[in-house]
Amino acid sequence: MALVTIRDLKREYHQGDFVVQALRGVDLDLEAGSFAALMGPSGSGKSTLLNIIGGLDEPTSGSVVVDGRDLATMTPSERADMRRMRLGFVFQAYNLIPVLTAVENAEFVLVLQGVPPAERRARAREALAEVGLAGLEDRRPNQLSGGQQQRVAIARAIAPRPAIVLADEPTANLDSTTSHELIDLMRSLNRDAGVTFLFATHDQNLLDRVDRVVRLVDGHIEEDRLVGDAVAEH
Amino acid sequence: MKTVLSSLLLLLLPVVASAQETAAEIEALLRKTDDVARGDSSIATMEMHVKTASYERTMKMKAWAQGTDRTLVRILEPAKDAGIATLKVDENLWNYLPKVDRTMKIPSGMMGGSWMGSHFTNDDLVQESRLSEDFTWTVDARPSGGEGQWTIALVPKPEAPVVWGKVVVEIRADELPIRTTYYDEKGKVVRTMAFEDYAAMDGRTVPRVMRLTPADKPGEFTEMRYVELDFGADIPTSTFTLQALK
Amino acid sequence: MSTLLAMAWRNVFRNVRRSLLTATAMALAVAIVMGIGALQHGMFDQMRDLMIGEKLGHVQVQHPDYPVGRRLHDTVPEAGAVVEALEREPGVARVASRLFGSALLGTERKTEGVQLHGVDPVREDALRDISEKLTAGSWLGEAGAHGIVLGDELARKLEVQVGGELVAVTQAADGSMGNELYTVVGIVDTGSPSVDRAGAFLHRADLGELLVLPDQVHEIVVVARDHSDAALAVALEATQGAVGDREATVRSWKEVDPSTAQIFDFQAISQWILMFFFYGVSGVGVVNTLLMSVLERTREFGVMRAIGLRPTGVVALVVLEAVVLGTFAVLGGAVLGGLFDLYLVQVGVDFSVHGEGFAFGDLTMDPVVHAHVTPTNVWQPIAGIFGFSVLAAIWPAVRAARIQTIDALREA
Repeated sequence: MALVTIRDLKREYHQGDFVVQALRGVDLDLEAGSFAALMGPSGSGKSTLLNIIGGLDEPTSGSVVVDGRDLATMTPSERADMRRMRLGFVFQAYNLIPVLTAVENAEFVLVLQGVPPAERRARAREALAEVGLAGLEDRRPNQLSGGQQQRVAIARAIAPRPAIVLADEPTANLDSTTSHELIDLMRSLNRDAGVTFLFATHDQNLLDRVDRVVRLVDGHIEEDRLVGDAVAEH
Repeated sequence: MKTVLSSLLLLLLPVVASAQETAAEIEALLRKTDDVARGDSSIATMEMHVKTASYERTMKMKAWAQGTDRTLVRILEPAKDAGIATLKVDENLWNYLPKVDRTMKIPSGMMGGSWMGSHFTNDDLVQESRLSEDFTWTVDARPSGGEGQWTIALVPKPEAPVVWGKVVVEIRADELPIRTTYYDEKGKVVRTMAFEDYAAMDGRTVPRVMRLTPADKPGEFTEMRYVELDFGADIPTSTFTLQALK
Repeated sequence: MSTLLAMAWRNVFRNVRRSLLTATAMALAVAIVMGIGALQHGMFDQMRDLMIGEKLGHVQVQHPDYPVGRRLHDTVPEAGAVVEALEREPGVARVASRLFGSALLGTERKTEGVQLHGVDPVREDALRDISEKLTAGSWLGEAGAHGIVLGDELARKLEVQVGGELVAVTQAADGSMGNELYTVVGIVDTGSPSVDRAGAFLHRADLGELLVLPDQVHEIVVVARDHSDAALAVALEATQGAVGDREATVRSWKEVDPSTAQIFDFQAISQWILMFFFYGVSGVGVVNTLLMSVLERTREFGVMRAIGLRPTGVVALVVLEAVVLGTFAVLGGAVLGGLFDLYLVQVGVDFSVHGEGFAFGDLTMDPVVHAHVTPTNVWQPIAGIFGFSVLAAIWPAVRAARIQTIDALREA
């Protein structure tokens, strides 16, 4: 069974008298271990789709099953539990908690999960080491570069060992060198640690490195193809 | 018709005639009431009987008076109080206390206080006011043909040193006092002085008993009874001095 | 929780200037309520001491008719036995019995109408510390010595000094003219104008002899262990027990003087008004600070919610920030308030108008009021400001918890 199964997903927004159809019937399956990207111009619905999969937004109709659970039937607090226990998030603007150090940020979700202090601290340090930030554990976000901050964000996302990491434009705020390094990092986390990634992006550098590209136009899937090494592997 | 009218006039005649007593006559009547127990000078032996809610006692005392300005009262009995004396000269009052051999002047603020434990106040002794001088009067009733009595209502003149709102005196046809009723400013009876036991003493008919009854203390009264009364005695003025008080 | 606490702590220090301003205002509120509360307490204590000591006691025992007519023979039956019984009561701190009579007091030259207070010298002094209020001479001694202590104003009016002789004349209970010679042993300034102007103290036995009321008492005055209502209730009950079915009324000072009792009730009310005013002001400060801080951090709360923090966690975080802020504020406030209290206790405040003491009813107070610090005066403002701040934090906290994750994240 797929990790994410989406059937006939529709999402409408009401803006005054207008009804904006952000998603007009999307079907999508995503396997565990994927390294996939949603792409498309602004307003194509890729962020909306990512938010719905992340339980941050609710579908108007259709079903969204993530990790075996149908999000459409869950209450907001159940979705919050789901996010905390099973999902990792990486945002465009890093969105670290400014008053917490790198290691505290990385262990924040583990704190919410109720993991014992010693274990969560070890796992957070491990995650920071994995993203290449060993030695910078006690820095605050404002003492880190943009790339470093996004690495901390990735560490925060992967430390709880989520079923899937949802990353919305993770490279958009970074210069191309830093961006490449970050993509390398996520690629290796996917290959070596088996972390599933789903991106919403229009960064070509990132699109070049994913296994699958789902292109959205005006709220429906225009194209869904395997790319790069994945094609060869097939 | 003419007859009816003239008989009506006839009926009215005595009334009009008696209403024509002169102010001088009434004033003379009041003056007599003022001086009922006083002559130019007098020496009296009296018994004062005081009944209050908490005690009842009788004192015997002797009083020397020279007009209305000078009075000396000395207690004879009971033994505990014997020798205590009060001297009045004009509006001043002194007490002499033999036990401690001291004379005390009663301060003006204490003039309303009880005199010798009786219902008389110090002020009653000093009293400068006279019915005949300090009041304006109206005659409410008058005797006719030796029957009935005088009832005269008196209201103090504005400047008069009087604490009462109104005083009503009742006088017998033979000009001896029956009763004096004292009212406060609100027209309520404060106390009543009744005169009784009319008898001849030293050639004059006087009421031998004066009973003062306060209106606000039921059952209480002070009764003053003349045992002896001697008018016109020759009393040296030196009697009314602080030295003599002792 | 410790992470939330650490976050709360650091969030408070994120905007140091804003937090410092708010905390300072709160600390000042604590200090002011502490200081003014203690000062008010001191003032009302002084008033109460005067009231209780000079006039009423906590509980009074009198013949049922005495308060109305103040007649000489309306005395308390078997007063000696009642006093002895009361002295054995643990709920009774002090007992004194008094006999009163009005009299003429004077020399050959000067005479005044006075109120004579026949007292048990030792008990009376224990009750109202009267020997400390003497301006000349000494307090009363043995019965039969015929000593008298005069109010200072009365002594001036009578033109007598300590050692002078005075005659008292009065109408005794049997109707006789009681009179006696007394020697002035002391002159006193009690603070009660009516006593100072026209009051004189003598041994109860001496006055009993003058009034022909041997061993009689018009009033038994009982002082409770303290000024509290609880102590009053205990003393009242003890007194009722001691009086038993004798013909005497037992009244608390509040019944004797309801208008003064109202003044003291007003103290409690005014203190509450004062407290809640400052608590309210400080609460508004906290709301303002936290609301600003929450609105600035909309995105941050959105992220935290996105990665799984429950709304209750958000509430907890904001409330914890108020706890941290409040803790600093009240600690500072306690120190500040302590210094304020120390000043008010040591130096006091001079309320005098042209050097005169101020009047309270018919009593004159010492113009310099010293604060009286009680544990309540300290913990109440601390707990109050702290509690109100935490309570005030709930509104911004709920607002923060209601932030919609998706909207917050969209505000990039």
